[in-house]
Amino acid sequence: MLLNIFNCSPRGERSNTRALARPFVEGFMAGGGEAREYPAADPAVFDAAVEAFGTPSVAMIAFPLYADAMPAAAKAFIEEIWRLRGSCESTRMLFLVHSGFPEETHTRVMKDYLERLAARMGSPCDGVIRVGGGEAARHANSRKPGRTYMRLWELGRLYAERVVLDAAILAKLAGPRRLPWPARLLAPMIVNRLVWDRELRRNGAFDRRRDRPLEAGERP
Amino acid sequence: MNVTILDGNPDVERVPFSFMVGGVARALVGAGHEVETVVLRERVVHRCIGCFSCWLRTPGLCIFDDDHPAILRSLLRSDAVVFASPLVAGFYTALLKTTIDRVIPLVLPYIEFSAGECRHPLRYGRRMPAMALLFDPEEGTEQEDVAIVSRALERFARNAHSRLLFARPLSDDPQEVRHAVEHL
Ligand SMILES: Cc1cc2nc3c(=O)[nH]c(=O)nc-3n(C[C@H](O)[C@H](O)[C@H](O)COP(=O)(O)O)c2cc1C
Repeated sequence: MLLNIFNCSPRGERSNTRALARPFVEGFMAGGGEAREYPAADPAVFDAAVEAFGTPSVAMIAFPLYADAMPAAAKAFIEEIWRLRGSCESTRMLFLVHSGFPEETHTRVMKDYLERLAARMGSPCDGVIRVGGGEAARHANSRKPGRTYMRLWELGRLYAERVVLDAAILAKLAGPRRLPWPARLLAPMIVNRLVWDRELRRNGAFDRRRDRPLEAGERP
Repeated sequence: MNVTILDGNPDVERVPFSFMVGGVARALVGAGHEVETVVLRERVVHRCIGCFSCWLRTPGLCIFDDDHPAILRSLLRSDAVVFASPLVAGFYTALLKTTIDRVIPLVLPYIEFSAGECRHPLRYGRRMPAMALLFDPEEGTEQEDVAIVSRALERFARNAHSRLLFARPLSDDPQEVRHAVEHL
């Protein structure tokens, strides 16, 4: 079985999307599948990616949440494959959507959208993998795989064997509906101070962090 | 009241679309509102590349020096923003999405909790404009598709500390649309 991964993150090679798709692919290959990756947000690859989508395969469209939906590059890819609707019965569709925020509520609408998209395309849909809080995935150490990595790997392996996404693993990956109270108190401290403020300081931009450069301006 | 209309139709030959957007704009102007229509296909707006420079290097400013900051200024001055878009593959267009993705300079990188969920605080402190969607259905559009795109914009509005006023077909009577916008 051939799995084509269409990575629609504007960050391409350095994206969290790629880091999250990788363990799934590795598991899939361990289960006997074959995989190819297309950085579909790259204009140089875009046409080849659309063409690959139309060939008999499993097509995994993967992207991060941008403004509560797919990034513009992912929408552009979807608009292009939309032209192929009705002629892709031999393309099984699969999706990977992840959010910076940890709660699964952020990715719910995209799940409904993507399932509906596949149905309207006339392609079988094997499901939507949702990952909450994927912001640090690309910094994870692949030699010491964490829980998310292991879950995605196992999901990929089982998918290669059964052509079904394991519901229990999917639920765990999607994230909690709400963070528990202690985490809600700790998360802003950790993320705001230890991640963003530290980075702002490193860039010499800490004093300007609340700047309002567009405050007084004319209309376009 | 100040209203910005973002016309997300990529197809210059889709004349009735522009005509209907013009009808809504005229109805609003006729009632004394200040309206600006931004035809996005005529503007240069680069896609967000996810570099976070607008948060972490040049706070509030994107690395791309294109037509987008002027659109953000317009939003900051508006009481309402109307997204006008054809539905393509059941969603508003990539052209409009390009502009929407680039709103992150209007929020701070920090996270806060609202109704138990993460979101970002506003950079400019004041309220964001109320939002509305005027869509042009495509062949096969069903109520379910409209519900999905509306929910996506509701989520976006929520996370932008705003709200979605309505999602209606662009073919609705412009006076009725005006009325709905006025009922902020
Ligand atoms: C323009 C922009 C908009 C974003 N909007 C959201 C959002 O609405 N919800 C969310 O949880 N994360 C949002 N994020 C965070 C991304 O989903 C997060 O950074 C993700 O890890 C990026 O993945 P990538 O490295 O694969 O591009 C946004 C990021 C950017 C750059």
